[in-house]
Amino acid sequence: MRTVDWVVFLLFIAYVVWDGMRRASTSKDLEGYYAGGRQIPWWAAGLSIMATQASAITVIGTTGQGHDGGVGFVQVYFGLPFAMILLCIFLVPLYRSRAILTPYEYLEERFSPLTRALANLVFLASRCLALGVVIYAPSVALSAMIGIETTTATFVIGTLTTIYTMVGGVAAVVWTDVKQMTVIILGLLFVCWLLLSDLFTHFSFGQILDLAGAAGKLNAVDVVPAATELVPRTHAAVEAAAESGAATQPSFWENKYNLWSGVLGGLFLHLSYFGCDHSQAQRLLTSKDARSSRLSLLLSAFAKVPMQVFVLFLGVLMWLSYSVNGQPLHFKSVHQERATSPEFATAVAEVKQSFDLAIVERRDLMLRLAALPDGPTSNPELLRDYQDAVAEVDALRRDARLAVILPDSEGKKKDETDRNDIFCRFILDQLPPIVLGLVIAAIFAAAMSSIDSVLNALSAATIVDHYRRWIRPQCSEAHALRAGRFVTLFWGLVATLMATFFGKGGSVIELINRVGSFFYGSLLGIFALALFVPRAGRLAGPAGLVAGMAAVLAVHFTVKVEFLWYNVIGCVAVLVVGGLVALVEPRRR
Amino acid sequence: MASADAPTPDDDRTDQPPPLGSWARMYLLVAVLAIGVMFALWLIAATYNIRMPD
Repeated sequence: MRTVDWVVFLLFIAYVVWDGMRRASTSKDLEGYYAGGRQIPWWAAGLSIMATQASAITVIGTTGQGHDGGVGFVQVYFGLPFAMILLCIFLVPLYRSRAILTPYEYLEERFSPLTRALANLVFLASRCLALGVVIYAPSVALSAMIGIETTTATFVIGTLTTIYTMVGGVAAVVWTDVKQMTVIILGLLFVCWLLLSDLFTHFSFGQILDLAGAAGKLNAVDVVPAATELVPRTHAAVEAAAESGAATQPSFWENKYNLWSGVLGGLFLHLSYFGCDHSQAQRLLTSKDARSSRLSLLLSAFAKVPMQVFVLFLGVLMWLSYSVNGQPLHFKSVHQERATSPEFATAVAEVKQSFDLAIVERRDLMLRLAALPDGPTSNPELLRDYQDAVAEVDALRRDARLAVILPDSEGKKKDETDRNDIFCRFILDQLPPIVLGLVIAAIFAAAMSSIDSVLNALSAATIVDHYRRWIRPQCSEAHALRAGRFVTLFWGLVATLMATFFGKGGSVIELINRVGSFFYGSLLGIFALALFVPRAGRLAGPAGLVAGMAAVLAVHFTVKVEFLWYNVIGCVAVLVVGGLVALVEPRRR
Repeated sequence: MASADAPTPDDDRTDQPPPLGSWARMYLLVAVLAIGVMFALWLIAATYNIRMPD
């Protein structure tokens, strides 16, 4: 990074921290600290909701997703607009007609203190564990980009975010999110302009769509998934088939991105995330009334899918740009360094030779395909050659990654994907001074905007649902506020230390994160039970919650099912078990 | 249980009408736009996308 980029980067980060800290004046009591005094404008709360979801790894990982796999990932968000409408109808009135600071307070009123405590613990555990990844993952990419140690980047991101969140409370979270979201959007728009202005010197917009589509990158809606078998495969059957050498077809439930998993699984995921996860639901409590809360949700409903398409399409444009202008063999800095070391140089040189030929051939076929007046399908032979060339380059990239990886104790090499490094490599190589500093600041900002919300939400859930409920019910506002700030600092330290010490064991922390996502469906189920099963009382709530989590874990360990469906399974299990218990337990008064 | 010193519920503090006159219309607009975006994406995929061979 050049000096001028460092200056822009540091100035922006300093501004964000200062802007967050000056919000301390609005955090004079718990309501100010955790609900912004209920005075946040709807558009700011809406942008903050979007910024929290758009973590740094979303910005760099989603463009990488578009580059490698096309725009199919957008289907995960198809259920989001409908989830927002349902939240506006059912949950916003519920939250805004009560003077609550966390959604779990409502569960005590509706079921019992045990249900509130259980739901709260589910939130605290899953979010705290996931926060380590939210800090660590962008730290890896950012450390490579700006040339500092990953541990230093983790420490800097964690510490700065903790400081301004601790001092400024949720007002700091929201108002820094607004600035961060603005910089993210401006940065991405500039990258888009840069890519299009380069590609338009080679192709028209129609040709861009033809070439991306011919490489399978415009798979935006998959109505008929590749796998249609409705009976899920058990892990035991898959292992047995693998041992005997027989191949079995994946079931419909293993298909990650298609219209059905996106609309239905995505609907449940987003209902739970935006309605029942306090790191997002908190924003519904910060605006001045129910109208503002609804509008802030509907802003995301309008903007999220188009924004996600835009970010994924940027990745596709990046792929086209690399295809026509040439691309590096490795995107990851650490892979590039290893490739030059004597230990790996010979193996890499072999792959490099084939790779150089393959990218020239892909470019040649791309230009020939673009020149067809009636589109790629008018010459099936050329189209097949082009698709083969695209697949060949992808295979050689994988070989190149494996060539710089040492085998594990069993002699196997585990591929280290470089999906998160494609965007970083592109901006480092292509962006002009100042803009580069601003875009890196945007990525940094995206990391901070996801962390700050979770820190404040963890603090609120600890103080409101535990400390003030069970430990010091009679404590003064000033005491509770001091405790809230201390707890924010505590969670910040825990998350930073987790990211620092456990981050390197990538598979461990990924497992923790995946296990955390198991609970979302159950969390949604308990709110659905509260709303739609009036008979459900003290026993049905906790029984349903435990059954929902048990059902998801049982499914996870027996059959192969993609994560989005876990949300549906958890929610349905809570409703079924909670409903059955409600039939036998004494009626609520 | 609500917080001890929490403020009064604010659902009824709203004095501005919903955009478009009613929330039902607003939700309908969001749903129609969402379906429209999905349809446009399907149209693009159906027109341009060609599945890569396995």
